[in-house]
Amino acid sequence: MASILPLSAGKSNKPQAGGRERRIMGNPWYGLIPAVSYLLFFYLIPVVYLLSRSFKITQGSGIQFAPGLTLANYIEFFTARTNYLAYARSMVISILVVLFASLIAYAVAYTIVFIVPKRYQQMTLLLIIAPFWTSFVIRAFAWQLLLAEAGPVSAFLKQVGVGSLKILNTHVATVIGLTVFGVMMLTLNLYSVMENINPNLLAAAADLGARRWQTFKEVVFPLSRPGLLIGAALTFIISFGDYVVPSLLGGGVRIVLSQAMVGAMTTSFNIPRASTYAMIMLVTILVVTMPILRLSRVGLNTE
Amino acid sequence: MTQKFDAGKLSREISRREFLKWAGTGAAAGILAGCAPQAAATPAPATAVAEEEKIVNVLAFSGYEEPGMLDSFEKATGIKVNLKIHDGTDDEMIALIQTSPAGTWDVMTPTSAYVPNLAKEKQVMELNPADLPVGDYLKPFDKWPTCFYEGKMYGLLNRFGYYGLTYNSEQLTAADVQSLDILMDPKLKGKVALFDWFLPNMGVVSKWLGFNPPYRLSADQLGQVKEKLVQLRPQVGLIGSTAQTTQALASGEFWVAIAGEFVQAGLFMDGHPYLATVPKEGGVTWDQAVIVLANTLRPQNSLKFLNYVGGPEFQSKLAVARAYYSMVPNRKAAELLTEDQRKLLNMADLDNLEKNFLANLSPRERPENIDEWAKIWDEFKAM
Repeated sequence: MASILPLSAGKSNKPQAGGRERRIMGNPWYGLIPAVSYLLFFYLIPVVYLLSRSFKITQGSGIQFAPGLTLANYIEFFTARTNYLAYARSMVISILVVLFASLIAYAVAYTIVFIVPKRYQQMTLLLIIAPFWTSFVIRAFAWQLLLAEAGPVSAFLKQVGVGSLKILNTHVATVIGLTVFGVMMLTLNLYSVMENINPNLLAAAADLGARRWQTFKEVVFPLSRPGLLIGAALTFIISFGDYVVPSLLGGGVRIVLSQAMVGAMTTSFNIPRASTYAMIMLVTILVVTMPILRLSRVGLNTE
Repeated sequence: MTQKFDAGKLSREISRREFLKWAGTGAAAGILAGCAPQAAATPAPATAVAEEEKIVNVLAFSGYEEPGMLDSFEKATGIKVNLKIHDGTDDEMIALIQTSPAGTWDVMTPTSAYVPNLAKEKQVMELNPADLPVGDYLKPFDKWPTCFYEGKMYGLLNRFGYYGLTYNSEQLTAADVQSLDILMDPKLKGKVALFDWFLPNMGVVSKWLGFNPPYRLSADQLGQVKEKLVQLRPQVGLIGSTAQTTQALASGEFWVAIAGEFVQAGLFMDGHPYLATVPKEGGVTWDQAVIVLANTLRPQNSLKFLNYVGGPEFQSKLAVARAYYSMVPNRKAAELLTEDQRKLLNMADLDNLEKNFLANLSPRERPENIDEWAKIWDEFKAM
């Protein structure tokens, strides 16, 4: 995930400012060593390893690989219908989660920043993100109880006359579980950008005769867009790659891509096959999130 | 590591232990308890001495560490048991045999399916049945095929259980579950829960099709197993861990699982209407065998230990271990259990158990073409 944070340290070095001290202290680029080595060891090397494994096939016990490189894993991936299904499920679930989470989080963040009185803002935000304090897995287990047929959600639906719905162990539950997470993530992102919107801009808009809706459309939304886009990108990354929620809430039948990847390890101990899934996942995430992050930067520059 | 990593088994073992540990204590607090570290003694460094030091270094799956399990052995023999509980897989346990210096471990308790291969690689000590309490063992555990290699004994079965049908007795009758065909019944659509571990499930399906032994199949037979799984697919509403499956049954949303006492006993004890049976087509077992490593420095102590853990006292305690209930092979152990415990573990009528129940179970083995089995399972889940 570190890769999506812009590595801006290099750019912001202005050689003319305090140049003499810098020269005495040594080359300022040395300051990048920790960050670069972090990325190298914890990101680049594993990715290169995964990439190289995905062109291998196992031999014998599964720990050894046959000599030479092969496209067999990729061919296998793109020729099996079950893989398309798993991929499509991951994609649809992630898109739905991003949509729902964005809508809800936007409303929540807007309410906190512009409607809740200033002195309660911190407290409200704290309450929204309180579920972050427990482990992701424990939260998924808790949702199991809530979504079970005998659970409160089902009881409520029965009360309002919707009837008994099977939610747990379907991907409806997966979407709900991931949306809850996405809402927290997006709310934090949106809160931080919305909070920085200069109130004078709102006052100016009002002075110029803008109605509430116009102020939102012309001022608030464009200024909050970077937060929305970055939050949406992060939510997509988590949703597309998550294994816990689809397993604990989705029921393990009709598996998604991440479950197929884990299955390649747990049932078959097939590192190359799992690596192939991982590479396909990585490429998908890059293809989807890079344009989004680019757009978010456009937003920042026009400020 | 010559064995293939078998993490499905791991997840079953771990989650079963985790689940049964917290099932008793109740939901939320229990989840944490399941994650709590196990109490485990570190084995003392082994030193080679001419006369056997009064110790034995044991690596076992959980149950052995519970209070009172080993006291009488230590008292009677003066041998100190350095016990470590293994939280990992069989494969990891076996990897430890190969990577530890001689004498680090004397005794281990892997799944018996691993024993023949270990014997072939000369990693385990040959055992003499005359030295061990196999005379008291239920048939066929006295001559359990996976404890033998080329006619010689290398493992002593320690505990076992089965994969048959665990069913909700309020929704299904004993007559219903006489055959595995019930799994295809329209009223069970979406109500079948499976463990996410391919070997036992596919073994049971293999027996369903009449293949015995279930793990030695031709390509055509394996194809039939796949076909049967595809047919079963719409009936299956959950493929999860032991904990998930047990919870799914407890919730009443699922009515039947391919499982045995290790799920049913816990549910039953908690007051859920669950019974387990081996249908007429049969089922497969899970088990653990005690082995003595070939490089042990304390063969005599190890044999004494094997005699103890195969004996009635230890066996009866292990059957109702807090970690999880299991069936045990020593007939005399049954006498030391309470009436209720015997009933719960199908050990009330041992002759009947041997004749009608065990005879219908096949040992869970490692198929030669295990990759193909795994692939079919992965496809089944993705359908």
